[in-house]
Amino acid sequence: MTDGTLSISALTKTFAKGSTTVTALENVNVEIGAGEFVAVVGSSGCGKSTLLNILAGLDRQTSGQVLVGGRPVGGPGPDRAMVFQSDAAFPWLTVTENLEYGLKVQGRSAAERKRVVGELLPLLGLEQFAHSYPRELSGGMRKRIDIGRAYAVEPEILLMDEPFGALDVVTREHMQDELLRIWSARRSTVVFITHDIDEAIMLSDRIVMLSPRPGRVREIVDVPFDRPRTPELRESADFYRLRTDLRRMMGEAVR
Amino acid sequence: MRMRLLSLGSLLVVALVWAGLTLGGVVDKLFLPGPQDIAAVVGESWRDLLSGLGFTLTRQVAGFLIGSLLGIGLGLLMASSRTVNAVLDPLVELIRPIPPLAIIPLLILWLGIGAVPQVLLVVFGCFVIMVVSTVEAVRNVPRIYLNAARTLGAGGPRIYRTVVMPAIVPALVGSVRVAAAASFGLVVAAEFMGAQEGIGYQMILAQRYLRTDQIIVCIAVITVTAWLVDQVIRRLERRLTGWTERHVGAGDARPRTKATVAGTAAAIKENS
Repeated sequence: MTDGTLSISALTKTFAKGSTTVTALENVNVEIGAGEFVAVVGSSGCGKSTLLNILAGLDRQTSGQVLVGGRPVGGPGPDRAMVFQSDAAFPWLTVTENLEYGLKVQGRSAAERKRVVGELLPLLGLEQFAHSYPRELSGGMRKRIDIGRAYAVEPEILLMDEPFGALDVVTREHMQDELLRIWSARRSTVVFITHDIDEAIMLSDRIVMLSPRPGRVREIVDVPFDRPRTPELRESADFYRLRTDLRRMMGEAVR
Repeated sequence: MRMRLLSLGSLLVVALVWAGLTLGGVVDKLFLPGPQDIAAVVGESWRDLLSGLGFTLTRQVAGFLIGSLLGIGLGLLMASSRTVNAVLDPLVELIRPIPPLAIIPLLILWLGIGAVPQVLLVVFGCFVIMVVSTVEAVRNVPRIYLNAARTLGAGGPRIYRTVVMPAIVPALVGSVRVAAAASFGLVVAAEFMGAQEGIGYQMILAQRYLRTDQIIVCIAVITVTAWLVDQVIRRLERRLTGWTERHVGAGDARPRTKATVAGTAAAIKENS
């Protein structure tokens, strides 16, 4: 088991596209502490999903190093559970069976699985849907299954790839509040990819802004707001000011 | 309701034209027997029909099961290993375009006439359908499910068992229906070529004795049976793949206080 720190140094990723090579990420350096919530923001094509896939071990970097708890990433593992943009809840399993999946992989006993799921269901607000199939639920609820399934294996690091990108504005903000609530109950390191600046401010301790083509770290911004954060924060003047600055920065990064 | 009446109406028109033509004596009953001739055939020979159907169904079901299981098994094997795929894919591609009926003369030459070549013909047809669609179904399993399982710590064999296998069921059930339908055609064709019993054999006999009425009854028997089998598979499909059915979303409905935008918009306009 690792301690939840992430150290990304001189990370570069290039793809061969026909005869040309495309640089997706160039010399990315980020240090992330245990229990820290970091948002990675950038417009499309800045390589943020590539970065997350490398952290997850689903993709390999061209050069540079990723250390998880001081050890290099060898492949995917439940110490770095991932929540994807599109629905990844297995549609042939019920909510409970989905939440149990990672625990079964780890060979945990039925009693222990029941205990973990029993704790997660109310935290996710899915008690009434324990035996429903994902297709019977709304988009927001399906997202909660994904989050719960990742949390069930008690990962030190949670990797989230634009998890709320496909939801409507109202559901998305509701899910952000829910995620904060779940996260405050289960502190883990979170790397959260998004192109939504409001979302990044609302959720994270630090915002890593990437500039596109090739993906480079443009700026790392500390988010000054105290926790616990409430939905009212979105309507405060300070929130707007930070949001305006970040938007301008992102606009410059594109140009 | 109106559409249903229209559909019933079109069936009724066909039945009336049939009755009119045959009862009125416009057409020779050698070419098109009337309803009373058909009823007579059913009345006098339903025992023969049933026993013939028994023979035919036994061969068809045996061929269908063997062929489908072989096809699914080999398809899964090919999809699980690149080496196996490299070895078997050209062979499958080689036999895939062969129309199953075209191998009947070869089967008779090799194995004579009897149950074995008939079953083999059905095996061949079902095998080709299932092996191709199994490989295709495995290839179409969404990557995101595989990646999700990997990030939860699952290894190759477990992912195959817990993700790939359930994910391909809906596509496979669809192909099983196609294979079942095809196997009826194949078994009857096999009996045309050489058999001592079965519905296809009875049809060939009826043709020899110019019994058009018996031929039509045999067609009806095989059609009704094929339809029944398809209904059974559809039942099974619904049970196996209930999770794919779209239900009305339970919704994320939470009571929200109604905010009015109209007032805000008006105020902004006022100030500008």
